[in-house]
Amino acid sequence: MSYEAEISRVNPACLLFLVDQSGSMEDDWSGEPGKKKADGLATIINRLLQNLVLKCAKSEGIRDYYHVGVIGYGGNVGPAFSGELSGRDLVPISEIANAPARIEERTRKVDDGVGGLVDQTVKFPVWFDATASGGTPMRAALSCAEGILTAWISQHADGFPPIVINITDGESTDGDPTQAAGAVTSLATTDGQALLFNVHLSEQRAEPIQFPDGEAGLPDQYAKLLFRMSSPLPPSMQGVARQEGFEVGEGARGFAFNADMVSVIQFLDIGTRPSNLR
Amino acid sequence: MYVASNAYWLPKAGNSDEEYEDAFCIESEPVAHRTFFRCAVADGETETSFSGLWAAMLVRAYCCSPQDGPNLHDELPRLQADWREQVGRKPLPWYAEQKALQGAFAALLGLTVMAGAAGEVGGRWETLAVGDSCLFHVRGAEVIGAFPLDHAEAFSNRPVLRSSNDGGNGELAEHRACAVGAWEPGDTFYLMTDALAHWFLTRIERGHTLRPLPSRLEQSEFAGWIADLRRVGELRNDDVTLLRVHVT
Repeated sequence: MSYEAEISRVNPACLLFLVDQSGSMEDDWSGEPGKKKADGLATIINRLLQNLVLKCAKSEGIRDYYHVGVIGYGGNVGPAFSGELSGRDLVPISEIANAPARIEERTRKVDDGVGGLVDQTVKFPVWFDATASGGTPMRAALSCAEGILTAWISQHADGFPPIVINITDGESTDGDPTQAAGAVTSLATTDGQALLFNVHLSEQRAEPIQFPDGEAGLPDQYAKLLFRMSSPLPPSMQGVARQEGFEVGEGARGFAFNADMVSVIQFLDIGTRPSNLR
Repeated sequence: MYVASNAYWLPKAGNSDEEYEDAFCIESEPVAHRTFFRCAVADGETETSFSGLWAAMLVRAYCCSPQDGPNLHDELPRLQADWREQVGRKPLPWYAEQKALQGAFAALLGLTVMAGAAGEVGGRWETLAVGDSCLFHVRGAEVIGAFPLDHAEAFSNRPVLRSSNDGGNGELAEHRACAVGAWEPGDTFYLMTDALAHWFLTRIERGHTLRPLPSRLEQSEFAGWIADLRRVGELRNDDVTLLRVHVT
């Protein structure tokens, strides 16, 4: 059986995010007037990194259950961490925990216990800053991922297969990414092939499509292309998706189309949960 | 009533003894003619921090509660305050601080065995469970009771657990389970944290004959047995705790 390897400090999981930083990411997210897609996505990625750190935080410190990387693609293609981690691709989660570029203070509304809401100041570590320029060199980003994962797998041949999550708002501008995507998913550990999940961010108000199990309901050729590039969800993630209330078929793929902010958060939560964390 | 009890435990394979996050508490030396006996196991949730500490506090609180009925619920605010005080003793980095705010979670299973009235053979037992640690009541070669879960499929990845935070115990009232029963001389009770309980129920469901645990089983033999079960894939790699309580 594939996708059952235990995640441990000896066999950590690898999470690699490919983040579209093209000029169109300056535009507002559908349904979020005044909120640029680049800014919203940076907040989501930073929050996700924070959650992964917290998941690995134990009484004695951080356990390196994950190695995480963020590759940006737009005017440039390459590692996108800010601050001390700048230029690094896959970084053990303990190093990420101890090296945010900065810790901001943000406010959030919390229950005041008597039926109202009050502002609460929370620490918000930032590792990744929003930028937006140039085209959408998705093919180059996938090739970059292939190189990073090839090196990682040579060191972790029996681990849970790497998970790559590509988040984009537009079509590839450096050619058909199908072959580059296939090169990523043909990489494998003894526990299965690398997983490539794709998230398309919405530009217009439209119902998000999440975890489809066929092309039939997809609106255009571009959506079908991304669907075909996406890996099937392993059974454990199908289970998590069902627990979260999604109707997920057996052939469901790790793909979201026309995703709004909430859908992206849900998608990343499900797509970054390999089973068997020790 | 005479009670003989043993405790066995093992951390996850690949983890150190210090990283063991289950806990157990068992009354001290066997005493002849005792009227009352308590023991408990708890299983600190892996994804929370300081959960081993929380598990240890819960089992101690159960075993130390007064004889006229364990009322752990009333003790919770004091235990939660103690946990916060112990966790907050030294300055923590940002992530440890935020993680501690989420609280620790643990499953708890407690067993109380009471002698019968004068002239009565056997006596009564009662148990309290939150989460998926399980009690098995064995008579001869037969399991005559399993609690709170009685089939392997009932285990899920998300059991309701007891939280060190006030707000984390909202669903507890409906998931806290209690049971009572009668014991006869020669009966044995086993308390197991979830991985071993799941394995045990699976064996029963597959019709395997139950063999009693040797009364003089050494911890090292237990560790070897668990390692073998893990190696052949029969047992999930999790912290394991087993208490054996034999009453006569």
